[in-house]
Amino acid sequence: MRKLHLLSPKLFLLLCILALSLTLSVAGVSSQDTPAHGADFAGELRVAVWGQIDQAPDRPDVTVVHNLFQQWQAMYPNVELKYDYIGGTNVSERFTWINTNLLAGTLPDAVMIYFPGPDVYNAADLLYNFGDDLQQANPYSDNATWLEDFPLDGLVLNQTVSSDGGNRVIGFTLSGDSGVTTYAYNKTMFDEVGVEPPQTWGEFLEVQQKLKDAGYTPFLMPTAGPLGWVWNWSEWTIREQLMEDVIEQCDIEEPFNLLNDKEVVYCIATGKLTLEDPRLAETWELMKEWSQYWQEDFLAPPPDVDLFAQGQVGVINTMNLWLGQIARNPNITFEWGTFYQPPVTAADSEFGNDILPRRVGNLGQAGSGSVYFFIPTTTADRSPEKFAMARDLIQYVTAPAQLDIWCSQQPIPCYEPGTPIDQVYTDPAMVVRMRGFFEPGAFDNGGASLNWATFDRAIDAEWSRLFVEYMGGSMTIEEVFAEFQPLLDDAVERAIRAHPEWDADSWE
Amino acid sequence: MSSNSAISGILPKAGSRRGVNWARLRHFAPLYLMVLPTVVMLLVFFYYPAINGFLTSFQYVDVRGAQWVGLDNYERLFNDVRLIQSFRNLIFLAVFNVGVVISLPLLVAALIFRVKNLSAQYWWRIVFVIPIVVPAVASILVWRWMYSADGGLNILLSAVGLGDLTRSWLGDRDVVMWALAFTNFPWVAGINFLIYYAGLQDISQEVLDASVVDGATSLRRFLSIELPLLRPQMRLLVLLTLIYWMRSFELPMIMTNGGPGFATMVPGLRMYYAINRDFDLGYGSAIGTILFLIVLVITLIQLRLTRTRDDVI
Repeated sequence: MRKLHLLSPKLFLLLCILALSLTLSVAGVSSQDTPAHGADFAGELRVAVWGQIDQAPDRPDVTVVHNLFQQWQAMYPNVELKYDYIGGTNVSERFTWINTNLLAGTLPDAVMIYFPGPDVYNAADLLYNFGDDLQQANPYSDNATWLEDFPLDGLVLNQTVSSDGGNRVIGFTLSGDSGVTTYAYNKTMFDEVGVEPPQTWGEFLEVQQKLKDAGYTPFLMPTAGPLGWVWNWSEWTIREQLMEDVIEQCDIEEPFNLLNDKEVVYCIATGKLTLEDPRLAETWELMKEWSQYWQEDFLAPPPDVDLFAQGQVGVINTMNLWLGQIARNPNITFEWGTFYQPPVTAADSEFGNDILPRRVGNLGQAGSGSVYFFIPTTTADRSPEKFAMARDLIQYVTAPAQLDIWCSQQPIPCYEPGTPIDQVYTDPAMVVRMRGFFEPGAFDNGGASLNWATFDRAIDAEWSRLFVEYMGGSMTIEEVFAEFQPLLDDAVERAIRAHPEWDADSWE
Repeated sequence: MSSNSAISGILPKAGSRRGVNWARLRHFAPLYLMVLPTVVMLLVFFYYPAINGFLTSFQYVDVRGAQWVGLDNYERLFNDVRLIQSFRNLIFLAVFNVGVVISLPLLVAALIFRVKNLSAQYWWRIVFVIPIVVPAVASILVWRWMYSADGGLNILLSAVGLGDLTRSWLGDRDVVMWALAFTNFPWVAGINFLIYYAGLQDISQEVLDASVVDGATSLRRFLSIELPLLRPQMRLLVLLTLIYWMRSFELPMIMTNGGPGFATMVPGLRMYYAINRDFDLGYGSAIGTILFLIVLVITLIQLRLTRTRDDVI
């Protein structure tokens, strides 16, 4: 006490100012790095993750998610972030795991998924609706609303809007062009044979004929084995190109330019999409004509070797998530590139048109992955605190600063839509390799539309098997469609029964 | 106190069939307790899923919940032409394998049983038993390679000048079922062989010696003595084979995924896909219920046919 008296008033005032400044500066750091909204977060937060994202050094698209989760965890030392690996070894098994646990109410506090399917994002009553949150500010962003954090006016969210308009699955970023309509080709082989990437369906077949004449297998198209579903990409994108007007007729509600499960069922129930449409048969006939260029035993599971890497096959399906496997394969010593699926023009088919096959995903800004998150309603019911943490985690990883990190670690870097490829890549070899993901340019479509799987995976599987029966010559198109029609009718009936809120009786 | 008098207190008295014998219960309580975990596990992991599956077969189930739909799933099932085809495939595989199981393993067991040199007999036995340690999945994968376009079978055919016969064995629907059936050819190794061999060892040496004294040839001895005395083993193996093929789907699943198209689809695989891929739990459960009923009927028929006077049922 005596010493205090020795302080002069000026010195005391100076000390007070210094102390106040120090306090304010510390508070300033806190509000920036440790937002007050999360200051009291504590306890365990479990997140179901798509595979071992913390042990996948060769998969930057998932490693980055783990890294961002760790950043969030570092801000909240009282939170113990734990992973539950989603069970199963393939996409369908993992969705089964999610579905089963969703139905049982046993999912962890939040879930990270790839490519949400209808059975997830249409379970409106079991998933938390982020609709209101998207209209409010993300605490980790300077934007007025969370929705503004998502590039291209939140286009990525369109793909996961459920039929009641709710946003129950939040995209980590734009999906990017997933590459479903992009083919990888052996450029060395093309150069040797003297062919260029085709611009039309007719040119595509001509190129493959020349490859075949030169003794190569033009196209590797598995219809069985682990990748036995890949053929479906081409079949459905050709179907969508030929039947674009049907998509427009059935696109009755937002988000437009994309059909959800309700719209596809509406489309079938009202007769706008019918098996009697000759364009469906035409799609299969085009596939059959194309199959003469596929590997000889395309109906059997392909061998467990990479025929493309061995230089035996000219063209394969690809997608952006597989690019790393091609790029890092030491056995690929030849030059390779990508090209976009050529359109079926009027010269190629009586139903051909000038419409380009619809991109699956959106080319351009904010990366090229399809990571999404959702929070089961059970989390909010069980513990408001855990729910707040789960939502905060999702807001953190989808904030603009984190999107930049995401973009920097993707197979294709982020860029503004419409940016010419040679401005994204300066290396000419990379331009050749990535051209199929850039040209033709971006346009606003998202995912599948005229796809049975949109509302019923079971009949989509039947469709696939019947397709193989047709390709193998054991059934005609008429026989296939006659067999498929009652299955389709049943599936539509089941979907309508499961969704009384659709008010299907009022459909015209 | 003699042991008889100790037990007499817990044995049911004549005419006392009603009421709880507490003394008996107390006496055997430790044994009941030891059995209890097994019974609980059985109830939880076998009976509960089975009953639940049966109830689910009357429901439509998706992620939003379940709805009671009565016999709809069974109606779908009986109208499913592909399921009927898959049952045809199943019958083909089951009948083929029943034929296999009552012939080749028995033949090899009988031949080895006749090897006079005990050391040689031992080594022959080892040769046919060792393949048991190879996992079934690994064996199927080897055979998948054998059947592939550039696999072992086509290489072999080309090497012996039969190149015209090479084909896509798993992609050609005309031969694919036969390809599946011939997997693991010559089917003699393993448990089936051992069961027959044990049965042969169980035959009284006196009976065999008497047949020799009576001048029976080796073939006559096999047909008139060994074969009739091996009937219990044959019945057992036929039953096990039928039940195995009713339940099993790993062979078509790994080999062809049920394809090409539906060519090698079997009901078990269709049930697996309905539940595990399509999340069509009601329909998958209906298929499972029908398969269970078929296995039950086969088992009851088999029990009925093989019932002997010694069976106390």
